[in-house]
Amino acid sequence: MSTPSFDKVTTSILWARLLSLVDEAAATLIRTSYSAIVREINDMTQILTDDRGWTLAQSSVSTPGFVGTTALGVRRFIALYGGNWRPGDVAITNDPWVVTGHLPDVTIVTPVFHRDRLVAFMANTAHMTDIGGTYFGSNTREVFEEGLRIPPLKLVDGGQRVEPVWDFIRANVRMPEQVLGDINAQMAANDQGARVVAAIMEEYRLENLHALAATIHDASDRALSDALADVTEGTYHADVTGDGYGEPFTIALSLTVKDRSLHFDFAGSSPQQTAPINSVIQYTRAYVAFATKCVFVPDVPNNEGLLRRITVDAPARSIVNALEPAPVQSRHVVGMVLQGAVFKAYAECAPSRTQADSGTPPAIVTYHGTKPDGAPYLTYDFVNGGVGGKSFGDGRSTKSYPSNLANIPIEIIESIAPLLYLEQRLIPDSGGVGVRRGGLGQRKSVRALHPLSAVLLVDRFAHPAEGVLGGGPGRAAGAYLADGRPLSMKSEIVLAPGDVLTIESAGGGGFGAAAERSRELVQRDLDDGYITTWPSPTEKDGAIEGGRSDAG
Amino acid sequence: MARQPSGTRKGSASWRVGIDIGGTFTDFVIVDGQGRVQFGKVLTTPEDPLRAVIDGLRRLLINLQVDGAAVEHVVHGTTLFTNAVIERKGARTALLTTRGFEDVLEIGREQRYDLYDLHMLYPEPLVPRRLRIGVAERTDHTGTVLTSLDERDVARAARIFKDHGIESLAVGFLHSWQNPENERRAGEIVRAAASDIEITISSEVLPEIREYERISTAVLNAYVQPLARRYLGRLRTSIAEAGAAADVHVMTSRGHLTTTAEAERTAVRLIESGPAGGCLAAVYHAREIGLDNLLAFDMGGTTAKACLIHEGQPFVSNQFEAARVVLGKRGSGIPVRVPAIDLIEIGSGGGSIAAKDALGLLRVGPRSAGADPGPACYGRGGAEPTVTDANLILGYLGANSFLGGDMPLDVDRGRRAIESLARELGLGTVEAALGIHRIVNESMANAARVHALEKGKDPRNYPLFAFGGAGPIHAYDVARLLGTATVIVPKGAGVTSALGFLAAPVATDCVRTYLTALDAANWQHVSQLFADMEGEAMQRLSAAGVVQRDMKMERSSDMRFVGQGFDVTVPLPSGRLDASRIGEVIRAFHEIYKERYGHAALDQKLEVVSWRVLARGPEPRIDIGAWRPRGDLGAALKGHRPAYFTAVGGFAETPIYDRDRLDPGTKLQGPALLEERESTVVVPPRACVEVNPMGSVIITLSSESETASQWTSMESERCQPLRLTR
Repeated sequence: MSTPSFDKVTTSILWARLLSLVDEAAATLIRTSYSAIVREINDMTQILTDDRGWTLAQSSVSTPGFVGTTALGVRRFIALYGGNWRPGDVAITNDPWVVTGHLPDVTIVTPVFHRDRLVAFMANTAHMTDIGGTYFGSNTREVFEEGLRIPPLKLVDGGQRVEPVWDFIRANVRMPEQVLGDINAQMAANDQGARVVAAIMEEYRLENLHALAATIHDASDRALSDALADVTEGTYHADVTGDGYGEPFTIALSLTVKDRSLHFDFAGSSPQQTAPINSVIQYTRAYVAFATKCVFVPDVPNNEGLLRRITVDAPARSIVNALEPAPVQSRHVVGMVLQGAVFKAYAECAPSRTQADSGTPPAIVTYHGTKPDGAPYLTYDFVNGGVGGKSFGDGRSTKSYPSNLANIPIEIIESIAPLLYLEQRLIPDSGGVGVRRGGLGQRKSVRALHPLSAVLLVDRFAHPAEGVLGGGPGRAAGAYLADGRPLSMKSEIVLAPGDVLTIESAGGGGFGAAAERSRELVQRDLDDGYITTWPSPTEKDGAIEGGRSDAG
Repeated sequence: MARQPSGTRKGSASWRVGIDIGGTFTDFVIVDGQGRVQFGKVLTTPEDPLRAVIDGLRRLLINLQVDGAAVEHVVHGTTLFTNAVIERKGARTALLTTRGFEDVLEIGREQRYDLYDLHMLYPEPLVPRRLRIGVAERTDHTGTVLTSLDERDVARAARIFKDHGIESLAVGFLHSWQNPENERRAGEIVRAAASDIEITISSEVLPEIREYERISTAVLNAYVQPLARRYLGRLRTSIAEAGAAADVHVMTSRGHLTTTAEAERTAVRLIESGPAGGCLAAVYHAREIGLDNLLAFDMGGTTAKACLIHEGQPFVSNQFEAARVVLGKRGSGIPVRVPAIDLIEIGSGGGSIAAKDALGLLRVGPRSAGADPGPACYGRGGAEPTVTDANLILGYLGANSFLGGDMPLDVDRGRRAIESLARELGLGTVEAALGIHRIVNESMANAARVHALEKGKDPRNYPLFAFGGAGPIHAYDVARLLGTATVIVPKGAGVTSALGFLAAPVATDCVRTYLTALDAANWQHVSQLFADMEGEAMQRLSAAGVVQRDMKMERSSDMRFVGQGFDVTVPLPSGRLDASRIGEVIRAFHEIYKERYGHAALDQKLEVVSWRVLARGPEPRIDIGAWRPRGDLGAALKGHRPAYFTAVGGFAETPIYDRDRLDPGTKLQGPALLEERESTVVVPPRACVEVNPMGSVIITLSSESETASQWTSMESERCQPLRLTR
């Protein structure tokens, strides 16, 4: 068979169709999911791969940890089943070491047939409402505590449900109807996409997707290669330290840029911990790919072509390549810190494109207890920090980055839990100084009205976001009680009525030397109280100071 | 201007006029007492939009020999307020809020609208930090005042506002949805101290839980309110000047009419009033044709909009975004929590620019040449190729029939613009033009399909109702891509929005938050809430001239499964509400939930967040069916020009018909171009066209395989044979 080639118009159209079909499937999955995490925070992804498991298109709604990871699951299944796929097959896994790095993410893979031949896979990953094990956010010491682990299995075999697999899941999760309902929603989304794939292949008379895949992958790879053209070759080192559970951890990165390729070596990073923040290698790679895409090709849709120039090495049993039975539930802590290391390395070789480190991960407080009338409740408060400055602008204050979680309105939290907020305010001077200032963190103070428990998950309190290229660090995160009782940043505490707990999120790092910031921007920041002081352009002048008019 | 309808006499009849101020034209639709419709159109006067309103209305009344006293209502919709927000031309606005929460307006919900774009811009808060002033006061979620208002704080703030020359103030305190006392008192104090500052009280605009959304909505209201007051005041004067003694009604984002007095109080409800008109026109046509479902598709110069009409009504959302930084990108605008017709905006219009992108591929939009300089073929200095240039090259637009021939298009300039892009991409000129046309169709169809699927609807079941300057050109291919079998292009596709204004009922809505588990609800309290809201709504409708027996009340509530963060609006039964009706309410919730999400966990507990009343007057009667025949098909044939059709793989000599001369009942087969002043319907080979009694063109898509057998027998001598020129 001759390989068809596509002209530029046809390529544009077909590519747009594939992107649309994964977005359509994603819309169906989000719409029909039971999981609040999928519905409200869109903690899911939908992909289309060719019959070899190479991603052609990924839904635009996704999260950083899903860049390139779901396709690894598809390729594992291909290795497992070889050519033995039948129409009506559906495969499942949530194995952290096969796909996305923690148990709540369930991946469903559906083969796509056209004219009786296997031509593609539709696959999606979604964060379940529950996966058994301890509650999310617990201080687990092994993965076995974290819930049900589903090895790569067939869930439906040639149209017949493999009942034992469904039974096992049903028996091991807290809300089986919802979890199985979500799995059904995932299967339905894949089926919907599969029908569109077949229709497109019929319309364009394609026998397989290889030529289209090559066209898409080559164009994407070329875009990344073009963007890398002005990056100076060499090896760049970047270390970032996070606070972790009990002991700090360090992400040590050496980035080698050569022949427009990027090699990331994490040798020297901390060993894996007996705390649930460990990242598996493919999750580490996802965050590397995420940061790389942000810096060089934010507009190019995700597909396997964008990963060709990226290689990742990490020592086994390190915190960025954790092996069994490491606990992995809250792996986002390491993921979010390690993306900062990637940006820091890019500050050395692509300064105009990068951003300083951000005040991330967010401080998370889980409040739970019973109300005066005996009713139990549980609610979260996400306290997001500031994003780092970058050459083309100040960092944004208080944004969910790199993930994308909306906060819960204060009026809603107060209606759920016996809490009274005293303040939610930006913290002046919390963004790192620089030509481009880091985004500000925020302070939330809350008074307990009734006895309750608060579970704290605060990081970046001892190791704030650093600035780059002469920019200053962001302010550290913190948590304290008004009565001065000492507090551990990762602990469960009991609040008595009248106790006031204050959480401060971390600011973003600054970009470039503060002295070079324009006077106008400094003055604007002074007028609006984002800063109260600023390092002067010349040392002799001392700091610039200013106040802000306020009724209070 | 339109002809005088037969059998109408001046003074006695009650006439209604719809006025839509667009970028290029100000459109008029006038309906007489029998519901008969006529159209009119004058050039927009951008420096003072009301000048065109006065001139046009005056001319319309003279032409039709209508006594101004006979004009009962003028209905108006405008994009003026949206533009004021986008261009930041609203009032100098400040915010008075609970101390400690001055930054809520800036912090927002903390989400990013693009996962990967570090460059992304956000809408800056409409009130800068220095003008957000906190005062000591606090109410809790039960409505209990924990800290009474510090009136000296408010007085101090009022002085600051005066010093800063503030024109408009939003007062937004925590939990004012539950108890507005402190907010109202603060408003009074500022009013007493600074009487020239206009004041918006958040609990009056939106007595609903969620501080950011409420305060943001109040701030936006404050920001546009002075502008709305001035504008609507002048509009009333202008209409009187034009000789009409009419009441003026204004279209809201929800597709309802409201009085100017009400509109001035809650100006925020007018933000999306422009696009609502087109959706209502689709609703009207759907009803007249007897269709339950339509996909309204409006394609203009810079954007396209799509809106699903389901079971005769558009979807309504309780929140939308104003002034998006990125066109059509969810999350990039300012959230406004007032009901609005749920439509999507796509960055594809006639002016969308085609270019080679970073991937070396052909990309169309979202950059637009707009009206100035406009497409290259406008000859106004635009050099980049646009969708309109491509449509000209492909023969879909006539160089000498654009805007009824008033605006000749420069084919050479259009061709040169496309040629240079074609060379860059290694394509032929026609190939590039066709590529532009196809890619823009694909992106509109893809966006519409995702929109439908987000609502759980299959786009194949929604005939395409196409209007706007460019809609009828692209409608056929977009419909084909969506898999729907029918396209409907209304008569006067360029004034469709103004017609929609006249099809809207006078209506108003109220909301109150009372957060409760459904099985623990205090029904006496609920009844009181509804009584309050219904009283308020009746008062507003009476003020708009609706008599009580014509008022219809609909109750609903925003409900959710306990623990979920999002609500579903569920209709509630009328009459007495108490615990005995919980079963009914639960069933209604499950039904809606299931329709929207495909399932409902029957055993899970429900809670209610907010309670709503929608009150509306009667549906106005309009009758577009007064379209009278003017001649046979031969008389309608204006000539031929070559137009490109994929089905024949090249240009076909295609007959051009004057739409104004196509009789109801006319049937013809493509290829054909049906021209009216502002739009051209493109009908590919083998597609079948029928003109309905309202003058709408109904196109039935051909299906390659069944074309021959299905249509051979139906071809009349009117159908033009297909002739290939190449």
